[in-house]
Amino acid sequence: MIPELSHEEAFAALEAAALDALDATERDAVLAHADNCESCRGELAALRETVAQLAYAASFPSEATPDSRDRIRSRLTARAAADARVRGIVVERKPELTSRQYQAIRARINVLAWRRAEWLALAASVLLIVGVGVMASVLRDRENLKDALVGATASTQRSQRTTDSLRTLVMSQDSLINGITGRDVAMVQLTSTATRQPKAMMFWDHSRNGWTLIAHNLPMPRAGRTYQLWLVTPAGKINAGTFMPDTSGAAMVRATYALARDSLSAVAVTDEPAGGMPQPTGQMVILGSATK
Amino acid sequence: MQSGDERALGTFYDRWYPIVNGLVARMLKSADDVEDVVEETFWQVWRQSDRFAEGRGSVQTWLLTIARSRALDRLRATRRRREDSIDEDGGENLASLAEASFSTATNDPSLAVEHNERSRLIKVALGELPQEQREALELGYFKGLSQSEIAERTGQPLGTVKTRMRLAMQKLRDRLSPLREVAR
Repeated sequence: MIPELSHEEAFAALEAAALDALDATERDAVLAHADNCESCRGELAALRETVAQLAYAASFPSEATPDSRDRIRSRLTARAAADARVRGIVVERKPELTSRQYQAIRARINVLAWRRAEWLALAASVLLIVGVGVMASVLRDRENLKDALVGATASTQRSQRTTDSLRTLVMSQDSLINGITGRDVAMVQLTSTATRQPKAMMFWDHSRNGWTLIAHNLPMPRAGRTYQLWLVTPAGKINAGTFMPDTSGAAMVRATYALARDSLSAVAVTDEPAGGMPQPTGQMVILGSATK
Repeated sequence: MQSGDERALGTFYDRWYPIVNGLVARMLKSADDVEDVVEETFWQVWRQSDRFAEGRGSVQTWLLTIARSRALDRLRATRRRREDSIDEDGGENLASLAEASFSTATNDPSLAVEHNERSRLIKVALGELPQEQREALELGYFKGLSQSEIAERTGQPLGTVKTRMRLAMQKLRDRLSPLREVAR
């Protein structure tokens, strides 16, 4: 019997499902929900694309010898050919020549080649004289082109790297701007009565389930402590991540979490042990009520 | 491959062997296991090539998901059989491993350049993660540990492990989105 999950519960477990890091029961429940939920299915597919990229962080061992690679290749293609035969698959290929056919064609080519040889010898003498001069010029040009190509290739690779970095940066900035200025963004203001009077704004992008907290004037937590962000709902407090302010007391936290529009009661930040807690245990640092 | 031409499998194998072998070798200790799992992966690709649907994701994701699943099956079976301690695994981490080069694993220079560039971008993205988030990701991805097992191993509450893994994945997803587009 597979337990049934709410959309929020399933959505929160999609990252772990993509990593195959859920226990079997929970994994089955998440996948069962995703089968019937288009948004979760799409999200899971996108997360799996990200997970696949992690393979490129693996080492590529030099001890993977050509012997091993060729051995596996030979076995695979032999198995595949046998499998295709068993399944009655006929692959259309150009017929290969028999040895006798091959020899006959070679002999015919030789006869034709000799007939042309005399003419070719004459033509070749003329061409040789012209060709030596042309070749010297071509070789010079080729060297120049080779140098230019090496330079252009290096320049292209540098440009590509720069473009990739800039594209990543721009996408991140675009995502941030959309998350705080989009049409479907709600805002919660967080305040505190503490001496230093920290302030914060939480932007909730309903259409993307995106959350962006921008805070100022936060004191630095004590050693071994961290700030933890909570989404307070009538059903409970949802952990939205831990964070630390910079030296000026500023911080920005971004999270993705699907929540029904009318289920947010408040947004809060508490002081917790480093690494965060499943539920708030520490002092409230800053709080904002969600206005309906 | 879908038409049953084994030469297509050979071409596919030549294109993807380096990355599949690299991933499987990172996850398993025994060279025999690595060779078996690499072969099983490409065999499954051959047998299930008609199930691949381009609209549902890239070939790369399909192939690497199969490779990792087969390697995890082998890893978990070995663990059960030997009651092997995961502490025996090496101390390498994702970011340092990304230093390794593809050039020794493929004869195709353009492929080596592409792989090395991908590896470099992923290293940058991983390097930007906080250490505890990167650790949760490593233990889940390469060691095949569930979140409960990671919590047990690191002594952290399960909720904390879940949060770390979510945040790590969300950040990586943002950073690597350009690579996902070109993988299609």
